[in-house]
Amino acid sequence: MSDFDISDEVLIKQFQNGDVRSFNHIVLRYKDRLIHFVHGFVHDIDKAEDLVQDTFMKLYTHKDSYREIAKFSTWLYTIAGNLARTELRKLKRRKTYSVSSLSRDDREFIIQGTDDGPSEIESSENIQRRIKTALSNLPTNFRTMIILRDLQELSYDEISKIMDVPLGTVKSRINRGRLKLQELLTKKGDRL
Amino acid sequence: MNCYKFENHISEYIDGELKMGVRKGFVTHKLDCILCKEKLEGIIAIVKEMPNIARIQTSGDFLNKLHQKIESYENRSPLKMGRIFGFDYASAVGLAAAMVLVVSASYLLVTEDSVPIVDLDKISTRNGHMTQEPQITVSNPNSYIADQDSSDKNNEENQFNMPIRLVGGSK
Repeated sequence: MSDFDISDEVLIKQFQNGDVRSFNHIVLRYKDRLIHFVHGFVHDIDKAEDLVQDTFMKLYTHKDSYREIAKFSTWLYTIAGNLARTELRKLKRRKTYSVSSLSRDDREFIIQGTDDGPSEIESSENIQRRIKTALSNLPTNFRTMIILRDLQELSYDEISKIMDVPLGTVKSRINRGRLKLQELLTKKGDRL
Repeated sequence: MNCYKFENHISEYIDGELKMGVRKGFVTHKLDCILCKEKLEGIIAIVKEMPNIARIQTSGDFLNKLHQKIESYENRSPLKMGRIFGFDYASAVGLAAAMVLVVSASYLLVTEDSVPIVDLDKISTRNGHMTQEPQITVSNPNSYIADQDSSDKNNEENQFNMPIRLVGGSK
C-alpha cells in the first residue's frame, strides 16, 4: 500500500504515536488545498502561505487535540479557516493592500476587455481566467463556499462543520455565489 | 413554480440534492422558461469548468520552511521542561508562587500567637454602649485647654473623665 492510499485518520494516528513521516505526508497532501482555501479569504498569496504554515504548526504542536469524532480534513480546514478569519479581521482594521495580492502566475495578468464580440469563440484558458477573476470579485462569504464546494469538492455537511454555519446557510450561499458568478461572467448577452 | 423559486433551487438541482416533490416543478419550469433555462445552463458550465482553473500552489521550499519553524519551536527553551501537570513551565512557576503567597497570607492572618485579636464589638461606640468603664485620669486637665472659656469647662472635664479603654492582649 502506497502512502497515498493511507487514510488521513491513519496518518494522524501514526503521527500522534510519534511518526513524523506521517506528518510530512499530511502536509504534502493538504498544503495546496489549504492555500487555495485560505487565499479565498486573504487574497494574498504570501500571507496565505504563512497562514497555511501556521495551520501545520498548530497541527504539529496540538496533534493530540484531534479526536476521531470528526473527519480529519474537517478539523484541519477548521483550523485554517479560523486563522484566515482572524487575519482577515486584522487586514480589515488596517485596510492595507499588498502587491502580492495577485497569485504567482497572475502577476502579469491583464483582465480581458469587454469589447469581445459575442460571436468570438473563447479559448478554454480565457474562460478559466475569467472565472478566476469573477471568483475573486465575489464577497468572501460566497467565495469561500464556492471554493470548498466546487474546487475542493467537499460535501455540504463538511462545509457546514468547517465554516460553522447551518446547512441551510451553506446551500443558500453556494447558490447565491453561483448566481453571482454567472451574472459577472455574462454581460450584454455574452455566454460562457 | 415561478422564476424566483426556480433560481433558489438551481444549486440543489446541480448537486443532486433536489427533493422529489420539488423536482417535477423545477423541470417543468425549465422547459417553459427560456431565461431560467439559460441561467441554469450557464451555471452548469461554470461549475464544470471550476476544477480546471489554475490552482494556487505553495512555494517550492514550503516543507523546508515549515521544518525550520518546527526546529525553532523545539529549540525555544534550553530547559526543555515541557509541561508540568498540563501547564507550560512559566505558567506552572507563576501558579506555584501565587499559591505560596496565598498560603503565607492565610497563615499570618489566622494565627493567635503572632497577632493580637482585636475585638471590634468591645471598642465600638456606635450604640453608645460600653461593656466596661475604663478609667483614665489626667493630672492637669487645664493644661490641655489653652483658649477655651469657662462655659465649656464642664463639658471638657466630662470628656476627660469619659472612660476609654483599648481592649487587646491575649485572653
